[in-house]
Amino acid sequence: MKSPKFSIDPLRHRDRLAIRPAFKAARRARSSAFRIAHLFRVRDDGCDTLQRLATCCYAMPSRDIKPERERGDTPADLGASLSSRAVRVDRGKSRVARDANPGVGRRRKRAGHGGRWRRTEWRRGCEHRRPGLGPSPPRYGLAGLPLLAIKTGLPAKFQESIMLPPGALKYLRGHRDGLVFVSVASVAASLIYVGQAVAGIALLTITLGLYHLRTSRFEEHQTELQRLKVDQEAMKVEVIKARHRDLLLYEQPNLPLVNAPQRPSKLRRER
Amino acid sequence: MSSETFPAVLAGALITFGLWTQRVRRFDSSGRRRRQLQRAELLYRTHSGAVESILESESVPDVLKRMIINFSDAIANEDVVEAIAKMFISGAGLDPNQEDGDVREAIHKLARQDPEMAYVLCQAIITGMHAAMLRFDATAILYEEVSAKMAASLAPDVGFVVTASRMRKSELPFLVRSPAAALA
Repeated sequence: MKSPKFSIDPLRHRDRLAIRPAFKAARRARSSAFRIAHLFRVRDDGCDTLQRLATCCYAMPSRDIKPERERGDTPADLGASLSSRAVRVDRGKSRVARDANPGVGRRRKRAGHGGRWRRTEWRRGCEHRRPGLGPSPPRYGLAGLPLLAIKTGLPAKFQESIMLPPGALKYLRGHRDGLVFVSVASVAASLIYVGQAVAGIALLTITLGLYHLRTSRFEEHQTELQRLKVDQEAMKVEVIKARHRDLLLYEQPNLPLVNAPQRPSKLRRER
Repeated sequence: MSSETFPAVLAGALITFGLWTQRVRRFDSSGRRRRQLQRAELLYRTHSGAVESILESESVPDVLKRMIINFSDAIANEDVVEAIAKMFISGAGLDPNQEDGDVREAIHKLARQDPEMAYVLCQAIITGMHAAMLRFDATAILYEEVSAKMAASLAPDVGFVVTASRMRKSELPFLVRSPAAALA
């Protein structure tokens, strides 16, 4: 049987390496729980985001499994073949890697960078995961929901068109609200694109409403922080005045301030 | 677009437009309020420095020190600041009286003996009043009008300072009274 790795390989080598974690995540996602968890862990540094997200979605096992004779030309099959190849290359000392670059493993072993060092470095920071998967990628939380909706609840025609701008997730890293907004807005735009205008407009409206609520809450939080700063400055004024109150009560306001803390106040004397 | 989907799309577009208008309005108002609070913070810093200079100065008489403490206590209360703002807007309640005359005389004397400290006193009063106006939500709305009236009427007048000092809540824990009132 001819290996599919050279026959169906539309991606460049750099892109294949960059999307490798996504493929691995998809490979592990056999159950629905794993599928949801790994949708939230899509990496964002590397090749084109849209391509990687789409491929990650397609690589997952679909609900409507096609007959055996139709397999081999779908994106899911492409993802599965690429993921299996990526895992084999990733092991470093496997047969595929030695064939691709002969002598690399042996030279490293002779130079002192043996297998133990490599394994420990590889596993650092990912003890909770299977060794060989690398460090855990960042989570995107609710940003994975549109992708989940694409795979589970929307028609097949819509799955072919994901209108997320390339690199959008990369620029929105760290801004979770903006990320959710852009993702849901892209789903809405895709819905309009495939003919579901009412659903698209409704989703866009709901997204804008949620964005409005979250942003308003953030702005209120910022205002409250600034108000606390003002209160802090006002308290400094109170501290300055408090140092002179006792002196003014004793009608000796020109006493040096160094004596002020040693003098018992009137209230303290009454106690 | 079919005729069936057009009403839904129109309704969605209207709701979206309303939401977006609301968002823009909220963005403007919250940004303006945040800038006001930033200016209040800056003014409070200047006010605290001026108050500290006045209270530590030997050239400032006790009358003015008590006045500035009372005034600073008064403007820490939102109700007092709002009442003063309404006084400025209406122009009533700022008539001079006997204590005003004493304070005015002390200020004139200070201006002759130590002009720099008289300037610091004026700075403490103005920055304190502006900071208090910008600090509270109810008075920040009136700030533009009050600041215009203040700029037009304040220059040599300290009547509002004495009025504000009298409006200071008497149940505050550290009440600074005049020696005669304390002995009485």
